[in-house]
Order: sequence, then structure tokens, then C-alpha cells
Amino acid sequence: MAKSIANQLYVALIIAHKDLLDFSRLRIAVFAFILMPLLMMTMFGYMFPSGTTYKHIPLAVVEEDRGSYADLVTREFWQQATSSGMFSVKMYATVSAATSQVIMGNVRGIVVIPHGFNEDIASGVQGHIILMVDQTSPTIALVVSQGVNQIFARISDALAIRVIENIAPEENPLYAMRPIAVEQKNLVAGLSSTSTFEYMAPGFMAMNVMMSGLSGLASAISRERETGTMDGLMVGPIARWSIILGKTIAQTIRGMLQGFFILALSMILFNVKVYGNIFLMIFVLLLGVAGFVGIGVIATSMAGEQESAMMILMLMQMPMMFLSGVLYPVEQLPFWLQWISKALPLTYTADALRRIMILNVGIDQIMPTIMILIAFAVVTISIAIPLFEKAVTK
Amino acid sequence: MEYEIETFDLTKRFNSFLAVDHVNLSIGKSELFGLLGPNGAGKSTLFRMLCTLLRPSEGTARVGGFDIVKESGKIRSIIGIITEKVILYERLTPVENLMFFGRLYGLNGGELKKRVNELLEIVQLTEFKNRQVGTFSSGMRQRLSIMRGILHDPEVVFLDEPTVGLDPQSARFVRDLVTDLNHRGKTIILTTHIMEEADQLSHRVGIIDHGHIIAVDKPANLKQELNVQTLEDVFLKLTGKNLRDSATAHVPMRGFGGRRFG
Repeated sequence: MAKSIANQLYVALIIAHKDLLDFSRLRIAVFAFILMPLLMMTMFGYMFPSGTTYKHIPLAVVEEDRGSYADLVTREFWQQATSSGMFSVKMYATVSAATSQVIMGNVRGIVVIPHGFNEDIASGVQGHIILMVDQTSPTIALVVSQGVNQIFARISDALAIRVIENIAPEENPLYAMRPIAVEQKNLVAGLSSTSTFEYMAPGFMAMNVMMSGLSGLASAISRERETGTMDGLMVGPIARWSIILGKTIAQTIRGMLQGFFILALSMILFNVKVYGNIFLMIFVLLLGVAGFVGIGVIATSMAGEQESAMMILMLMQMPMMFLSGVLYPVEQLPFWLQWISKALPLTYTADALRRIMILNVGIDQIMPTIMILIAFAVVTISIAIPLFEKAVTK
Repeated sequence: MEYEIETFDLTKRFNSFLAVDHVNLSIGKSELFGLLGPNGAGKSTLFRMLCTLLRPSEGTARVGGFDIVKESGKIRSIIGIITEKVILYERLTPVENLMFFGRLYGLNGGELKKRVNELLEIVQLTEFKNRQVGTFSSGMRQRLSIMRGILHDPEVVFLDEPTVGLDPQSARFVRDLVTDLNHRGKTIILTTHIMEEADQLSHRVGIIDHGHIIAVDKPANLKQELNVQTLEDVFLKLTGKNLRDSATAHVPMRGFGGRRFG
């Protein structure tokens, strides 16, 4: 019994070797295989950059009030907005002139220093700045609103400090203005601020390993069924599971190579750091793959031929990509979608990987996640093997 | 007589379509048996059940003394199959293909290498041994495919239309290989649409139609019995001259039954 299992494991390795050899002969596929992570990394890396690195958002400023405070505030705003590189500011004479620029799509927001601003400030009343944003893009609108608010908060502070210095010269104006300050500390020594990319890199790794495994496995199995070589395997004295295992090993090696290529690229290009144990990462990735193998085999067995299998998998990959917290946190989803995301193995793999990478957690701290992944793998694989058997011997 | 293959009411249904209907057949050791039948008659279904690639719906069969359902694993180590669709990986070389399949059968090391070289020599492919199979002509592929099928020295060899699409030279070469295998004691089940080939090679032929075996005998006896000149005449007399295009329509096209065998 033990000998026969060892023998079947050996057969699985032979099949894996054959699959990898076969793949290595496809020059264009190998090229795409290397290019894909590179493309994905640069694309998402620059699309979801760390912090707000929106650059040169065109902004209109209309200075209706020409008083000295208004002038000072306008100049200060201009200086801060342009020096950060976030906005490129242009002055307009009237609000309607600026509005037409927004409508034409040349400007993303309008800052108005309205009539009476100077007088309000001079007489100790709160002065109001008016902000209008281009609402065609919620993301840009949010960034503009936050950016402008931050700048005016700073200008406000500077004005307040001047006032406090006049009233009570012996006080530290900063303490008077802000009696409470928040100090942020790091959970892990050496970990500075986490960039969006440090959030996404582990997710991408998991997604890549699992999805390339999933579609690779499905297409490898259906291709062999279609070309007839599966018959050659099926009439051999080998167990069904060793065929599946062999193919899985080959696809996993491919996925892992890509996954670590992604990690290396994000370390080089986006300064992502790994604080945790790399072997624990590999272990979690392997568990994730195990969870996906079953799904891949089930899809292939049900579909019959390659094209349908790929369609079914596409159908599964789309929600997985967006609901598993790879691109943005699961908390951002509506409640019912969060429940769906809890049923996806990628959610757990990406989350565990992220915690290992960034928070350096140990195996016992992610034990619940590991148990869920194991349960997922056991359930899907035990459905998959009889279905596969049925599909190929019917 | 000792039988290598025996079927007992062997039956296969695809939903409501009865592809093989209670077939009882015995094939002797070292016999070269031709299995003939029009398209959709149940030939390939029977063939695949005997190869353990398809589970029977009813009845059973024994190959080499083993039951095709309960002892399929044992059967797999004593049979070899060669199909019309060659079982070879196109992007691998002949050597890589044969080494891969050899290892699946537990062959290894120097012994396997020696065997691979011998087989390539037999089919005159030694000089192409490091080229990818995808670049081969159909004759070269089929020759190699036969070597793949007998690499592990099986007792029983199943050949499904091995000469389809081959030029006369390659077809002759393949037929000679088949005869030679039989002379070396292998039991051979050959399905073919080429009646001349079946007549020339087979000790006995079985004609299957609508899932039933309608005749089993030596080609000469069949010709004599029906008083005709050729095996083709026998075949047409027994199965009729109507075209058989509609048979596959009974088979479900999707899901688990999506593969059609006729």
C-alpha cells in the first residue's frame, strides 16, 4: 500500500515534469508568462500608488475679494497647492468663467474667495471659502476636496497662531490650539508606513498563484482530453489522483514562479518589504492552491471541453478578483458582498499572506485561516476526484 | 481454447441510446481479431469499454482474466492502446514521449533508454529522435504512436483504425508491424473501416451493428457462407447500404456524456 502510494507520487512527479517540459517549448507562452506579472505590477503599482500622488490636478481660483487678508490667503493657497505638485492652479476673473472650464473638462474644481471674506476675517468672524468640484469623477472630487481642505486647514492654523500670539504671547500657541495630538506607532519594528502596494502585493501573489493554477489546470486537463493523450494516461497503470496531482504540481510551480516574480518586482520597483517568514508564505500559498485545484477540476469535469471550462472559470475568477480583498479591503464592500467574499478561498489566502508579510505573524496566529483553507481544499477535492473519474470514463 | 477476452452481456447506454447491447464475445489468446462496423454501430464504445476507458452500464467482460470493472487497474498494466488520434505530446520529441510513457509503466534508467532506442530503430525514426513530434508527418506519428502503445510489452494490444489517413507506404509499414506483433504472441483487437485490411490481417472478424454482434467468423468462412467475393461484400450484405449519418444524434452532446463514441 505504502509502496503503491510512493509509486503513484513518483508518477505524479513524472507527469508534472512532462507538463513543464511541454510548456517550456511554447516560446510565446513563456514570454507572456514572464511579461504578465511585470505588466500587472507596473499597471496596478502606478494606478494605485501609495499616498495621494495625484499630480497636477487643474484647479481654478476666483478671487472675488481683493482685501489684504484675501490676497494673503490666495497667495498662500497658490504657493502650497503648486509646491506640493498636487494641483496646477489658474486664476479666473469670475465664477462663471471658471465654471465653463469645469464643464469643458479643463478644470477639476473651483476655489472661490468670495466678497466679504476680508471683512469677516478682519472683524474676527469666520471667513468662508467656497469650493466647487467636478462631480463626474467621485475619486477626483474626493481628492480635490481633501487636498483643498488640508491646505486651508494649514492656512487657518497659521492665521490662528498669529492671533493667539497677539492675545497671549507667553503661551505656546500650538498647545492652545491643539491640546490633544495623535502619535502613530508601528506594530512591527522597522515597519514604516504601509503603502497601498504593500497591501496589494501579497494579494496579487495569492491571486496569481491560484488563478494561474486554476485556469492552467483546467486547460491542461481539457487539452489532453481533446487531443486524446488523456486516453494514454487513463489506460496506464496509474491512479486518477496522481494525474490530477501531477498536473497540479506543474501548475503550482508555474504559479509560484510567477508569484515570487511579482514579489521580487514589487520589492525592486515599489520598495515593498517582507517582514515575515518566507516559508510560511509558501505554505499558505500552497494551501490556497489546494483549495483551487478542486474548483478547477470540477469545472473541467463538468464542462467537457476546453472552451466551456475556460468560460466557467472566467465566471468564477471575476468575482474572486474583486471580492477577495486583493485590490481594496473587503470592508469596503456592501454587507451581503462581504458574505460572498467570506466564501472565497482567495480572501483567506490573501489576508494570511498580508499578515505574514507585513505583521510578521507566526503560524499559530493564522491557524483559523489555515484550518478554513484546509477544509476548503478537502471538500472541493473530494467532490472533484469522483467527478473527474466520471467525466473521463463515461 | 483459452480466451484472452470474454464479454458477458456487455451493454452501454448513453441516456436512452443503446450503443452496445448485450454483447457476448470471446477472443482467443494470440488471436488477431478484427472488429468491424459502420459508423455509430457501437464499435468504439465496445473498444473503449474493453480498454477500461468507459464503464459498462450492464454486464461485464474479462481481459487477460481480469474483470474490466473490478480489476481495471490490473488490466491497464497488460494492455496497450493505439488510436486514430495519436497519443503523443506534440511539443516533446520522440525520445521524451517514449521515456515519459515508459516511466508511467515503471520502466526506468538504462533499460528504458535501450528499449526506446530499439523501438525508434524499428520504426526508422532514430534520425528524428530529437525533433518535436509536432513537425512529423502523419505516417511518422502513427509509427511512433504504435511504439508508444507497445513500449511496456503488453499482452493485449487494441488498435483503433491505425491506418486512417496514411499513405500506402506508411499503411503497409503499420500493417506489417501489426502482423509482427501478433506473431510475437500478442492478442490484437483491430478496428478498421478498410475491409481489405481486416481480411488480410485478421484471424477472425466480428461485425457489429446497432450495438449487436451480427457475425463472428473467419473472413473466408463469412465470404463462403454468403457466397460473395470480398469481405466488403459480406459487410454490406449484413449491414445494408444505407448511409449511417444519424446515429450520433442520439448521443447527448453536453455534460458528462459530451464525448461521442460510435
